[in-house]
Amino acid sequence: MLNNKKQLHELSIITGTIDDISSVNINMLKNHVLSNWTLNNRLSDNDYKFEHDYSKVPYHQHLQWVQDYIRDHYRIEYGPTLCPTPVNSVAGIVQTENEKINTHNHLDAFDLHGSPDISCLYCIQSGEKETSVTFNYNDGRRKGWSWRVPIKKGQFILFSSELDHYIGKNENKDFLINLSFRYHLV
Amino acid sequence: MAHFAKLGINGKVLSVEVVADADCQGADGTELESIGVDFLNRTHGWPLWAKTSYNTRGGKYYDADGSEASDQSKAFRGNYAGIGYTWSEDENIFWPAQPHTSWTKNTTTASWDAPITYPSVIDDGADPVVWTYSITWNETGYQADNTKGWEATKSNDSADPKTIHDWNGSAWVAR
Repeated sequence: MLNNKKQLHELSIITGTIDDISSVNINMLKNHVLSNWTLNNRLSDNDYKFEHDYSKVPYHQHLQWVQDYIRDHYRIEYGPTLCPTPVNSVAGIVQTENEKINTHNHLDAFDLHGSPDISCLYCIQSGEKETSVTFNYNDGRRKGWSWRVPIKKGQFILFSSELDHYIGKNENKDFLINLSFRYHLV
Repeated sequence: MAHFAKLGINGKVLSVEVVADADCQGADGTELESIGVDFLNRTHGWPLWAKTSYNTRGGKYYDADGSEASDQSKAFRGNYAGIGYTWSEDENIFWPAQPHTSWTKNTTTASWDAPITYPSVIDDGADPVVWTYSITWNETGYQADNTKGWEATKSNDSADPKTIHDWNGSAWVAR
């Protein structure tokens, strides 16, 4: 007789969109991210770190509304609440033509307490030619698996922060602009 | 202070927010739900809201001390909304999640009714009470036999496993 099964660990990728009835104005967010990106205000000035590709983004009302939407709908669907991490919970990622974001994950081995549980990529501008985010993971003895999710304007991708991932080359003349959120699960 | 439930597009309650009375009032001081909704729409960027009463539960209004109010005209929308509740505009009620598929809505008590009335015997009947029945609903059992559903174990039953009793409508019968 099999009595009980306990799932010890889960890696997940969840995609979604913000309902049209929301007042979130994606163009305002785009301008907000770009205006801060032009200030060259990076999460890290060390270009060896992946945070060098991430720009700081200060508070904005519509940013808050996006966060509210994702938090509320995640909670109603899955239970726990997504709480922004104390440090660097919001960042912008702007990819110019032919630029890619190298493989990384969002866990900081020197600050596991402050590292996120769940990360989110919310696309606020994408070009005609599709760009994807690719997640690399291991499934027991099946090593080196990948899962690819196309990046589309208005779509968010929630994923386990420990997942190694990279964003492919932006083959468009227009910038590929994403917001990155980091959360603790409470 | 007024309370408003934030609703998803499927009517599910996403959160409950508090709004100052002044933000629900028009220029003449009249309090209107639509004014509170407009305020929340502006501040939260989300248009779907419904007012809820902190003091209403089970279709009844309770005073601040927890006693049932003598004036039940203040009872508002069945239950105080909670995350995961569902707003029904037709019934004008915030419904908690359906506990079991066979349970049905009771719009008078704003709660879900089991198809079999809750057992009237809940303990040994002694004074003081020595042991009680731990009563639960068995949906699988009900689906298999519509005369059964409520089952219980005695709190003083030291056997392992405990003896399960079925409610037959008037008494508990050991299984």
